[in-house]
Amino acid sequence: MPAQMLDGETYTGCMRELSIARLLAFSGGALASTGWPAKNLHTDPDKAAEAGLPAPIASGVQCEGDIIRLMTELFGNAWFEHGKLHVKYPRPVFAGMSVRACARVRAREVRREGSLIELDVWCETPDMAVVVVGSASCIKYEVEDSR
Amino acid sequence: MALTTKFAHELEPGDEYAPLEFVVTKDMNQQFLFAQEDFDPRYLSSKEDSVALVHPSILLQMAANTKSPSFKLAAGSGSILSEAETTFAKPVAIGTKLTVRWRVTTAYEKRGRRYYVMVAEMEDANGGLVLQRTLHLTFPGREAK
Repeated sequence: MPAQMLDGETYTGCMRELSIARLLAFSGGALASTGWPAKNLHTDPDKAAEAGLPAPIASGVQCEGDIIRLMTELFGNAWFEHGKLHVKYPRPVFAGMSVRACARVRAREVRREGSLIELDVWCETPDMAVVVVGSASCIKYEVEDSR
Repeated sequence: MALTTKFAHELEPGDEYAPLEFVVTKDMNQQFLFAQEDFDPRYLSSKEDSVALVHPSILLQMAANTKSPSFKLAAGSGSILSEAETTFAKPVAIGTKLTVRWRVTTAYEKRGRRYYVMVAEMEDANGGLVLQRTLHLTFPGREAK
């Protein structure tokens, strides 16, 4: 976790493959449920094909989870109480594609309890196609809450 | 306000979906940790006196309109999330009973398609707000006229 976050600084997560196994775990319902995995656009090639898709499509929320991971790495436990995230999903992510979360500090406002950090956030593929885009903000405490 | 029994494409501002009550178990949390490839210690019970937290992506997933018992799609239509705005208010420990409520606040047209703005609020058993998520949804295939 960075001690300070300055205007213009960029942070990136690891590039991770959205394997079909990960899509099944996220969108297939509870593992112990009868008939797992649930068949839908995110888990089943036939359902995806019926909708004209070349492969199961990752839930945009699953990619959003990559941004949240980056935010918890940057802000620690403060994210759970003060985190805000606003995103759109401009392009689809299909099973087998890789994405990584990125964030750039846009503004920083010093407050009594710490600094309010505003960031541009996005998820990108290895060829730099943006698949999730938006903004985030959170309080950055001067001393990390160790809870 | 009565809970709606409408198809998704028939929703109007003011409509509310039936709430969902759920508890995130340790197994469910671990399933999502795999899905997110995020095995941070805060989500794992590593000490007897520590409480593992629910991964936030589960909360986002459970705040989806499709999770309400009222959610109903007409044949030949789909539900697409185009935009989401989330405010986190409280960390959630595994085993906490949570309730999600949804209401349609506005509807608008964009590029010939009708969109519905739905606010999901998730609370714990004490009525404490855990998160608020504003969803911009469209239901292609059977749009309202």
